Amino acid sequence: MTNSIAEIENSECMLVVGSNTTDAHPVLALRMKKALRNGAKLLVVDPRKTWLAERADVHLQIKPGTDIPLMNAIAHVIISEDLHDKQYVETLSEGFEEMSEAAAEWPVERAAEICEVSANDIRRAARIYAGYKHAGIYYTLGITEHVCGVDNVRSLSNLAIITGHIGHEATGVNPLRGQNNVQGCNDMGNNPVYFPGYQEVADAAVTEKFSQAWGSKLSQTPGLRLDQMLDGMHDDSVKALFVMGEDPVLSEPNAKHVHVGFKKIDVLISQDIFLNETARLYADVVFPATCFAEKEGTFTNSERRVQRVRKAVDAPGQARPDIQIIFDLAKQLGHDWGEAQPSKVWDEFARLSPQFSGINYERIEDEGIQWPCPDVSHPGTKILHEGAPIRGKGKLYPLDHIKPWEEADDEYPLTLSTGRTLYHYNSATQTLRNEGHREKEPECFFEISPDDARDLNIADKEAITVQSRRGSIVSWAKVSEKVRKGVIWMPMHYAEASANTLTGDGRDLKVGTPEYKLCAVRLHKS
Amino acid sequence: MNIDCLDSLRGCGGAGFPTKFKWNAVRDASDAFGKVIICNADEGEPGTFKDGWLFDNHCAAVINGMRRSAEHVSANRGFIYLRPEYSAQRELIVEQIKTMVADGLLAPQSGRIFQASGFLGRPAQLDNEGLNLVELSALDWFVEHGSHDLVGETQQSGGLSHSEDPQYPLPQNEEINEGFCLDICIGGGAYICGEETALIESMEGKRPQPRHKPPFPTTSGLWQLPTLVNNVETFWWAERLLSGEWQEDAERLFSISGAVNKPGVYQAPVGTTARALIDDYAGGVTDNTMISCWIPGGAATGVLPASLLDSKMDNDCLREHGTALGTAAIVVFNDQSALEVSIKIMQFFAQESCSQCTPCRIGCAEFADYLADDQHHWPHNGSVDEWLQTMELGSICGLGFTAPLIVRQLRKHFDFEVQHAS
Amino acid sequence: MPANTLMINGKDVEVLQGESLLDACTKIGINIPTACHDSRLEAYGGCRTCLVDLDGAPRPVPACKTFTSPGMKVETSGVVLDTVRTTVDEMLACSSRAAIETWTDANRFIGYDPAQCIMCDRCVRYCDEIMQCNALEHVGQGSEAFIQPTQGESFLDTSCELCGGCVGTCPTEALYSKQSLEVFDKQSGEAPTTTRTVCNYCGVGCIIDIETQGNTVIDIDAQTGVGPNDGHLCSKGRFAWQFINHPDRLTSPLIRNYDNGELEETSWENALAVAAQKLSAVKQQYGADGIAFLASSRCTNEDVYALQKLARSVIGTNSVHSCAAT
Repeated sequence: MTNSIAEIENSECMLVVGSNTTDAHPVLALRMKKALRNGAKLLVVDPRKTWLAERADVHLQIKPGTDIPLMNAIAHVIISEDLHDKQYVETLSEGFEEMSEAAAEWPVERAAEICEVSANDIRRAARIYAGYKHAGIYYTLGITEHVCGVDNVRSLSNLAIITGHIGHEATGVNPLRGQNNVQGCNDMGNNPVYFPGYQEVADAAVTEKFSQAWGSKLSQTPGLRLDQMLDGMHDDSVKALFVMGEDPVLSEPNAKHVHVGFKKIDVLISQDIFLNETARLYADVVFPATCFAEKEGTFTNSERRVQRVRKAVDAPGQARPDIQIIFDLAKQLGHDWGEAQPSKVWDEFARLSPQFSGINYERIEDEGIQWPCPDVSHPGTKILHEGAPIRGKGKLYPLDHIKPWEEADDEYPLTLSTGRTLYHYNSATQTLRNEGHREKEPECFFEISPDDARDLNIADKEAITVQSRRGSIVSWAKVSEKVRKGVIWMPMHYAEASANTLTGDGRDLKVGTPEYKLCAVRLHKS
Repeated sequence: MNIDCLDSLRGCGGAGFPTKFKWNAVRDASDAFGKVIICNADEGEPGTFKDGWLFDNHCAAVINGMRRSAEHVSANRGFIYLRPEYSAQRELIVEQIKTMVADGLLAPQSGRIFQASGFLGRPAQLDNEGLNLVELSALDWFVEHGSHDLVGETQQSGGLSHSEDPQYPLPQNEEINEGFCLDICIGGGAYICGEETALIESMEGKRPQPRHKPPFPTTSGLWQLPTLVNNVETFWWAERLLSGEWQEDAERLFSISGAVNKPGVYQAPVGTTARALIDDYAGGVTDNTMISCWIPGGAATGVLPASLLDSKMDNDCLREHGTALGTAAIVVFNDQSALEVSIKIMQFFAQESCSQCTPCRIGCAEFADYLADDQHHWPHNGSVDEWLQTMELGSICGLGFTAPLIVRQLRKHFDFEVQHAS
Repeated sequence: MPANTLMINGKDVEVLQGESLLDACTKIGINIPTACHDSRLEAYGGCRTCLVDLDGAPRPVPACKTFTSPGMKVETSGVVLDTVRTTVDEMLACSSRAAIETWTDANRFIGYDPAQCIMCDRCVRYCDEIMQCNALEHVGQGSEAFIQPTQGESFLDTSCELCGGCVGTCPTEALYSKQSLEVFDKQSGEAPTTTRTVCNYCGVGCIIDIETQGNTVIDIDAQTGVGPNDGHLCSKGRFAWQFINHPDRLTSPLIRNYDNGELEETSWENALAVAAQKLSAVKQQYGADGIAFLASSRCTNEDVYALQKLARSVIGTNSVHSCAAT
């Protein structure tokens, strides 16, 4: 997030795109609810009629995968009606001409047609967003899990830059992180092209710095992204996989294809708190790890705040802290890193990563600190790009519509979208083990619009089979006004009805993020 | 508008606030979003039935009084907040409003019927058909049923549904372009709805709990608009005084009921003695029996002994005896002791407390038990006096402030011995 | 915002406009007891425990719901005031006359004991103002009033999101966590310990307090004013902790027996040795880039830092990634 969570309640306008915030980030959504109570305007872009959408001043219930035409049209309205922040654009951005030309390719009527929303609503949304000083954009995976995920994000940052809605309170472009430490995992360099602290592998000086620090010659060859790893398992370039706390055969798209890959590799080592599906089927060695309540360390939240995780209970049986397992394995492989002490590991990271150098356990004992925080006297950074964009000038991107990997057609006429519910979390290994949450939402379902249900002669709670070109799932229909005609939606939480049986091979063209948010399906009564 | 002739008029709903002062306060309040007139016809005080009688007999005058106040304060919306049982009166009011709309005296959309919200969980009660005004206001009936007969089932926000399906909730931000728009709002069916801020809350569709004051409704009432809330009788007197029909000081309408030969509503000067009201107006005590005790101004004014029947019915005199003129509702008892009557009143308060503030919520119930207990056993560490004082000083609204008066009057006039727990 | 000067117990106090007398008293270190007050909610003024004397007011006023204006004179103690406050406390402790004994609600999280309820409405107001669910309501009148899920239905059938915020804000133990009651061992006499940490679900990073008794988690709660969540939690954060003590947890390293294809328990020494040997073999045959590492966004910063360091400095590959897609 460019901005901070607490600020949200001071918003005058919120543009929520592809985020069912009240279900996926319920506590952050409370700030939005408070802003709403205080009279803030709310614009929601979502194919589903979410809690927020029902209360929005404008709900753009777009056809899945048409975010860029919509955002281009909004940008075009803002520019053509002269609502943009000319001073900000002139002094603090670059690429305005190319961007506005690209946006001009998407007059409101053209976008309205492809997005399947009303042209007037697009205009209203544009005017409202541009009309308030404290107007922030909030998005989640509804934006990123597309073939054009990166461009989707850019289409949002375009809006923020042309309106100058960045660098001050309750503005900016704010991805809401789906998992407790997505932010930290990236910060720590679990990325094939970045060392810790976003220092590029391609930079020889950086590689040299880390080689020195770690006492071994490091490779400068960029590594594989997750999608490339999965592909590599098929073409024999990846022969061993070490998986820490993940369950790829459930969580990666086109599950059937993923299984084939796992069957081909020589070695799978897994480390988790439960015996997950991937480990059960394919692991050679499984290490019992500890959950958050059993270890010391830090998580970094969506607003870049590094916060202390503390041990409350002992791990069960012989389970060991994850960090201990990695240290043990390193030692077994001939690298003795000494004692596996989280605070020392943090200090090593902070020393090597300038944006984090000012953070240490002592300083975050009572309250977390938001990076960037270059030195110990720095209070941390609540709002990024204050005064001016960090890179000097905000880059505006000319964008065009990119079609999804798979679109509905005669054979598979419906579009499937996936998401999270309030009561469960990801593959639900934790929440389905809570009796109360399991009872509240015990099994998978498909939301289907009343129109489609009528056309297909399907009644509420009726058993249905949903088929894509890759697999099928038997479940039941939940006829609901929440989804629009032509779209069905399912939660991603249930192993026995894994959404990834259906999802396809679409991936973001730039960073490889899977297109979980749509694929073509058909359905019939079971 | 010159309203100097209202100098003698004090509110007739119980609290006796000077009417002219209130009208001017609303007139002087800022009116960026409009002002509101509310006629409080919730008439929930046991023993009181003059408001119903006024609609039966002088409906046009009451509404004209409201119109005059609207003109004085520049309000364009008005409501008659009507006790739900007053269905016959509702018809009369609607007819009267229609006539006035036809005559161009009220805004064209006037005469709609809205529903205010009440408390959830109140038991559905008996059909009130066949009860006349006096019976509706009788103390026994109140104790058994609460202040209001509830018809139908509870709604989403606690309101009551009626056979005629009044609109719910009240629409806010309505554009009233021409004239004064007068509508009816059916009350939420609880004693506390007669308290002006609880009444306003209930009109807004909320649980009818009194608001903290200040701010007073004169500056921030319905939907935070400056709001004039007056009793039915107050509007009636205002109309009579302002129209010149009545040229002396305002009198009062006395509701006289209980053990009298001719229960009814009687106009008499303030300061007439209770004995004169009972004998000269209400036809004397039933069967010439002895009066055991009596209530001067509705249940909340507590019980007085027969020895004080010659006191003047005005606030100065009654204050000497620890009470007030209240709603000018005299209830005469010949077969129940002061303690028996007081127990019923306290039980009524315990049942009708809105439960918002602790002193009233707990205090009323504990005192009802205390009075009803044969031994008058007091089970608490704090003394009876400390509890009474806490209710008087620590409650939010008039219900909690005045409930202790029931106990105090009993102790003052009836030799009621305070028994402390050992 | 312009400042007001008022006098509390004879001392001048500077406050901001819009601040309550309670805020003002807190500012200068005067502790006013409260029960119905939650700083995250609109002031209610119902419990009357925070009454103070305000010069010119006919009666004591609730400090929480009285907003400061210049020149106010306030006394927070006095003979009568102290009596009133003591009596209010005694009233609050009076036994319940609620028309119900408990809820017959099948939800597994939130329970209600009217005997402990002081009708402060914090739960109802929380559900209305903060959650905007309106799943709770204040029912009935007088001393028989109580709290129930809206329309008396089960929480499972109302708009309730099972966040347990009502339990969190309850100043007594009228609303309680059923899960906690199940595992808390009152007999043992062992006092619970509190550990402050971060929730492990979404990326908001709510600060939570884990209550433990021995090695058992018995509750999770959050404190107002702490962390990005300001004491709020969602249903997962507050209640989804049964997994921690769940019997399905892995408690021993496992190794594949290739004869029967099963995973079998083994020692740490063996598991580590086998893993190291297998990784070394792949590295030898296919090079370092034949090995890939998948980190978890659920683990700590230190865990994943160590993992990428293992990949880069021990194995020698940059193939380390996570499912971090946002």
